Amino acid sequence: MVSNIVNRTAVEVLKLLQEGTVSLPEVYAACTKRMQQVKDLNAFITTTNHEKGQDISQGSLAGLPFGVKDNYCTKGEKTTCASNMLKQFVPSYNATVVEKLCAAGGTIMGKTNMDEFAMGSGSVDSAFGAVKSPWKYDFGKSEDENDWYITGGSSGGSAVAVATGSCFFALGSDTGGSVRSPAALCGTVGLKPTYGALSRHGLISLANAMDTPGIFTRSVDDAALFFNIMSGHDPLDSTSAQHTTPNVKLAEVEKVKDLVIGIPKEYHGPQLSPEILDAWDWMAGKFSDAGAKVVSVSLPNTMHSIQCYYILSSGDVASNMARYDGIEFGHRGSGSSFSEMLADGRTAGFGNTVKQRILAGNYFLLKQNYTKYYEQALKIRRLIVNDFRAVFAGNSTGGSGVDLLLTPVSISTAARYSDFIQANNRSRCAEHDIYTQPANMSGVPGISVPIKISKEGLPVSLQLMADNFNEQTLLRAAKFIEQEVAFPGLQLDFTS
Amino acid sequence: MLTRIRCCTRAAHRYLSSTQADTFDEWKKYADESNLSPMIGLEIHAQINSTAKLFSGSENKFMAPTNSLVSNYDASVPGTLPVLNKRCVEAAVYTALALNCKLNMQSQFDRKHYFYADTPQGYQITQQRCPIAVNGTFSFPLSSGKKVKTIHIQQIQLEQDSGKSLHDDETNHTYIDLNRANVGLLEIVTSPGLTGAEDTCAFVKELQMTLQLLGACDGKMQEGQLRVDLNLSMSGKDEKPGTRAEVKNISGISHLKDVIEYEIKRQVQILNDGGTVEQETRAYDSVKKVTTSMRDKEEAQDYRFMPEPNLPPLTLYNDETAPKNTDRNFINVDELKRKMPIIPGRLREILMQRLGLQYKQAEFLLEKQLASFYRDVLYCAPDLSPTLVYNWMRIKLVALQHTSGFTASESGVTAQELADLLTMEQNHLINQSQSKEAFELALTDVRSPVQIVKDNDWIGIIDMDVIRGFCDNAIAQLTDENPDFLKNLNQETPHTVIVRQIVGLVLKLSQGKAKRKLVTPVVISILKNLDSE
Repeated sequence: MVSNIVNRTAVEVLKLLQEGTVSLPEVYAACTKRMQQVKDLNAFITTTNHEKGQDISQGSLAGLPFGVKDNYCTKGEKTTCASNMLKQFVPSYNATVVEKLCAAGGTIMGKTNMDEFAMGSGSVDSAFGAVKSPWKYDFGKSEDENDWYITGGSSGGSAVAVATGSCFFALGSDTGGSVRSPAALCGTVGLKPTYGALSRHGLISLANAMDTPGIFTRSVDDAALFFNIMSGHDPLDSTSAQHTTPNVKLAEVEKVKDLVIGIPKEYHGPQLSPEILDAWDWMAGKFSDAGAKVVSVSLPNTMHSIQCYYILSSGDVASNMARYDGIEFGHRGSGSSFSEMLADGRTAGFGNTVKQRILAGNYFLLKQNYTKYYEQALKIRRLIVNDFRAVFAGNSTGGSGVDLLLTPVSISTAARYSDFIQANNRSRCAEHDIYTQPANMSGVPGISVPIKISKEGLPVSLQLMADNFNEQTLLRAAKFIEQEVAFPGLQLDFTS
Repeated sequence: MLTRIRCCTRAAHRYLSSTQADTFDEWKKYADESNLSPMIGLEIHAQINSTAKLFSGSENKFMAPTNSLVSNYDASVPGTLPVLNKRCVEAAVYTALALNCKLNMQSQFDRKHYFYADTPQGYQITQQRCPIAVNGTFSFPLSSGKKVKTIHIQQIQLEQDSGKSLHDDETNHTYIDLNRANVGLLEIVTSPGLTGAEDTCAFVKELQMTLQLLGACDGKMQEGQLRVDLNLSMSGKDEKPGTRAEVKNISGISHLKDVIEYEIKRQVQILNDGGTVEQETRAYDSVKKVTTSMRDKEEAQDYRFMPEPNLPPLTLYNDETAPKNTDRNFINVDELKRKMPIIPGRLREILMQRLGLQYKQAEFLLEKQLASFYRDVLYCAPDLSPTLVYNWMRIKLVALQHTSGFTASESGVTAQELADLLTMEQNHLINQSQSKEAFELALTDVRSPVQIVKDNDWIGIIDMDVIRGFCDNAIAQLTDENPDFLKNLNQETPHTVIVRQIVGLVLKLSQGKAKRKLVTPVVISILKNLDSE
């Protein structure tokens, strides 16, 4: 038996399986054991207890176990969105990306915990309790004794599942940074592809025009593998890209000589922690050393992005949550009239954050406010898109001609839960999504790559962004970073 | 006989309306005195005739078992997304063309929010900000075709229908049927340019016929396929419109007439009493024939419209802009223009000016959706008598339509085939009942009606010498049997009984091959000329 299976990447395990060095049941046993060991972290809402590893080794993924954020519909498996509203909801169909992964031979290990309906940046606002970061977690102590760190959110469960080795990759969803942020805080690779590259069909909507299926992996090669399996037009999602996205192909060793790396000056904020600023600076130097051209660029409308993001996403939330009336599915309230039943059910079914956003969204959408807020936000969103178009456009067309943007993912490393809950959800998001949500506003792909471990002992990560549908260049450069930094990853020791 | 029935109905009508005459006169008097005249605008919801729903693949059918046509999307199951049905867009484009609208080559969908038990999403997807078509005109005949009125069309939009709620008062339960949820609707909005029951009903009738002819909507009002929301206000001398009341969901032309007359009366009475008309939504009670305020609907409802984020803008193309690749999943307006059926207004003109029909006859064919079939038959065989074709359709085809429920377009019998068949009838090769039977058989047969006539050996004798021979034989045989057979013959006007007897025998002797229409004149002429022999 090969040791440390749970510390390996998906590509490595697939190779071991192919060689016969390790068997599928051994892989499941290792992952299941790890899931048990880290149970206190609360990464999974539902674990699927099918007999695994017997005969399902078909396809390119050969039965490889993966985690699915609990806002993707899974046929016959509870899909709760971490909400009391959907506590008993069992879909009759698979989300397209889940379907594609299963068709390629992936096996679902379980449904991962998250902020309710993906609204949050800490994975602490879940009807099933908060997700805890494995970093610096003392598994010897009880939950209460631990002054644990947050995972980032909203896809915290998926990040933990991959970081700890409970599975080899996991689906997340990224509307304002919900994949990249927890990936950064938990030290995994987190890819948010171009809007439209992956189908949203079966992903329960938060903010439709920004929701992007994303992937947590332990390596950039893994990210490329799963991106290739999942990308492509889906007739069931009218916003999925019509053209076929070419497969990403990565070399054994990636070189970046031909690339122009942009450093957006608006991303230098006073709140940015010195350690992340150092890492950013250091990485820019590495690119430069490797022959890439590193230039300073400007995305002038960035400062308005977070406010607009808040207005637009709240509007979508208010609208998307309107279907939760408890009639066709979901928690049903009681009362003597339809209105009473509705009010009762929604009061009990939704958590406070969801309710706040519904109220805010409805406020922005009121007839007297629409042009004042929502329409303005749409206009500024257009300006933000134009900012990105301009930096990626070639010099000949008046653009900056950069291939990639290198930025921080978050202003700091993970906070302790006790500190994190001092602020409310809304201001926490505003703080944490500051570097990530512009990619959602503009639709460009972004990836979070771990760089090093901070003095405090927590992962420090950076973000790359590329032009729409240029995942190829994005992942090439991400692989370059990965090879430069040789991030050690999370080392959990349960032997004692 | 016919005249007598007409007189009776007219008398009955006069009697019935006289019971309402007082009140009707009253409001008319009030209205005239205060220079009040009604201004009416309509919002018409036409269910699109498509096999699948607007944004899902589930079937669109009337009277299916409750909740049997409901996909995950129709029930708004989380994670599902709308996918626009191309066929529904085509229906909208055809309608826009027929209503002379300006097509927006790029239109958008919006969400209109309201909580209702039979609206599972909590919103309806509609086109509020930028609908598929705007700014059209539509003409329709008034006063039995003596006048034509034109009304301005504000916009046509695509939207989803809601489900249905059934309330059981005894148990205080509401049952939801989502079969209708997400069926495609065309909402057609007119300017308030209508002035009363006559023009409003005439407009709706013409629109109904047009939608049917375009295949955009089956238009069966009793099945809720065409529902009218009516906005009515009384404008004063200054022609400034008064406050309008909206009456929702009127599903029948006769209901529409009642609603208009009731609302005019109601509003004039209010104004006459010095009151003000409330801006509100009202419902029509077809039993009591009154409209009542729908107080449960919030008056100042804020629908919180927002752009539908799951659907990209709906783009239409023309010959110039159409994508050149093989992907046919787009709509070329020019292509639809070329395939566009002729609309009733134009058909009526052709029928009356070129194909010899009266207004009422043309109207009859239009109503029965036979007008273009009629036109095509006559185009195929210009020598056919229009009267023969019209009468055949009016009696034979309508009867068949009734018994077998087909429409001309789906009968499987082409205009050319019917033209050939009727030409045989006109030339006395077959008789009326044979033409009907051949057509009826052809409905469920791959063969053409003419082929059926031939295969059944129904073609009659048209050689007049042969017919004359049969006639001579028949007269001889009858005289043999009864030497006095021709005794009472009046040669100027041969006795019908005698003629009929001879003709009957000829038909028998020829085994039905000699047709009555050809035989009768021969018999008469033989009898007239008996003396000379």
